[in-house]
Amino acid sequence: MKKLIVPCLALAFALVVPFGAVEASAAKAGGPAPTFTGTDNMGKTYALSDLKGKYVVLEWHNQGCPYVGKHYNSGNMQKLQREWTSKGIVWLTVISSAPGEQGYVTPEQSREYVQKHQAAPTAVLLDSSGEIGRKYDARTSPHMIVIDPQGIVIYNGAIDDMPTTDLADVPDATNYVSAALTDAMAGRPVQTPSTQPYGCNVKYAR
Amino acid sequence: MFRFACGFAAAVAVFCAAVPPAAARPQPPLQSPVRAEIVASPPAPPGSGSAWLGIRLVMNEGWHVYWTNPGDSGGPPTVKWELPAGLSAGPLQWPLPERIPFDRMVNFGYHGEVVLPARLSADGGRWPTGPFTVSAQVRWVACRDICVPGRATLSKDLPGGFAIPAGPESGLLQRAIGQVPVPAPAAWRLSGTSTGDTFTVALETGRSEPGVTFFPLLPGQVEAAAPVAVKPTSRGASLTLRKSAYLSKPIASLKGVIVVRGRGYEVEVPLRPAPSPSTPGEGHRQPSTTRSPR
Repeated sequence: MKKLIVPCLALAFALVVPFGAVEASAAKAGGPAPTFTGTDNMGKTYALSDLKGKYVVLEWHNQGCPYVGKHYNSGNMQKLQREWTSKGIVWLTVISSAPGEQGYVTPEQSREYVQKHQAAPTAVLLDSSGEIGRKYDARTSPHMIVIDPQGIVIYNGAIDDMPTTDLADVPDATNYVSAALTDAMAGRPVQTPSTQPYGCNVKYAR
Repeated sequence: MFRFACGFAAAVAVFCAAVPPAAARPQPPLQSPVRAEIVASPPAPPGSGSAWLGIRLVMNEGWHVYWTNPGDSGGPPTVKWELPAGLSAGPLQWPLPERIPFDRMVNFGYHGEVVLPARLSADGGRWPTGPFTVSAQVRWVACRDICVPGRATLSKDLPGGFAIPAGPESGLLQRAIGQVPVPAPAAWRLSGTSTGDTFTVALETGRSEPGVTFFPLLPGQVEAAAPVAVKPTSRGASLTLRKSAYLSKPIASLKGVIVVRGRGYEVEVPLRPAPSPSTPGEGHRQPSTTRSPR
């Protein structure tokens, strides 16, 4: 009897999970940000509920993705991280690549990358189970989310309006994350609350 | 005798060498799994001022490149032409794509190989009298489970008067042109409604259309991964499309390609809010609706 329960549970889980998770407007702009707890590359735990009262940026990352490479090799992402964390926002880089997939890193490899690229997020969350990514329906790297101090998603989508891998496009792009933070901090409604994210597919466990 | 195969092989060698080492640090540099070349089709009818060029992309097995709207990720190839004075190239044309699923997402793109045609025009029908060269800087992103960007500077020598005989290249181009969506017949009627999470498109062609489908031309309007639900009607079909999760403002029309009996038709479907009080209707402009915006 007992032997049957595990496969049955596994089957039920397998049937329910994919459909449940497809209900994907989880982090729709204007709605509450899904709660999460994650561990960073130093072993420190971050819970969204502890960050109430602060703006939070989530940045989906995969170091092998050429769209991510555009923003790190041009220094654009690091510049954004420095600019906004200096204004008191919490910037969380999230890596949802599963083990064996492109972009998966050990804590040590993640720290090396940060060091090498002089990246300046508040923390890099290692989400190899994809739990945070699925909650936010993160589709690409770099997919960007901005959460306001009340815990409402105020931006969900692309980092900017140039969906290419070409470093030369960075200076001409309109950055949607900066625009959303600038609007919100000035007390204005966010002009562009969502756009189609661009980049590489997030490499979730298959 | 056509030197297509030899020319192609030479082109491959040049382009493979031209692919710059990828900037990725942790992984070894990857060569682009795509080979690119320019193909040309002579003026038709002979002596007219209009001919075709095409960018041919041949992919290694398992890799794909993207349609003009790439769907959930990736991006379309781009081209910058360099042409002799007096010649001009129109925008790239996009043959019908395939739906390419990955994980829970869907891309629109091409496997195997694709030719992206562009119309080449000579001012006043005057082609250069001596041999001339057309060049193109092409960029693309090819993906499988991972993505690799590629670029190539291509060129092709053409004889004076563009007097090449039609051959295999013209065949490739003509086949691609035959797969490029055309305007919908004037007799068709198309209308759309916006309701909650969906758009509904009513198509009337005059006969029942069980096999239609739809590709959105613009990103951020329709969920690429949501199946297109088709209900044939006596005079056409009704298509239900799921709105994009990233659509934050109402749109007045839906641009896309509707595929009917295997042929693609480029359409712009005017949208009106469904006559339901729960639907916010701001921003829709449609003369036939009785509801006045604001």
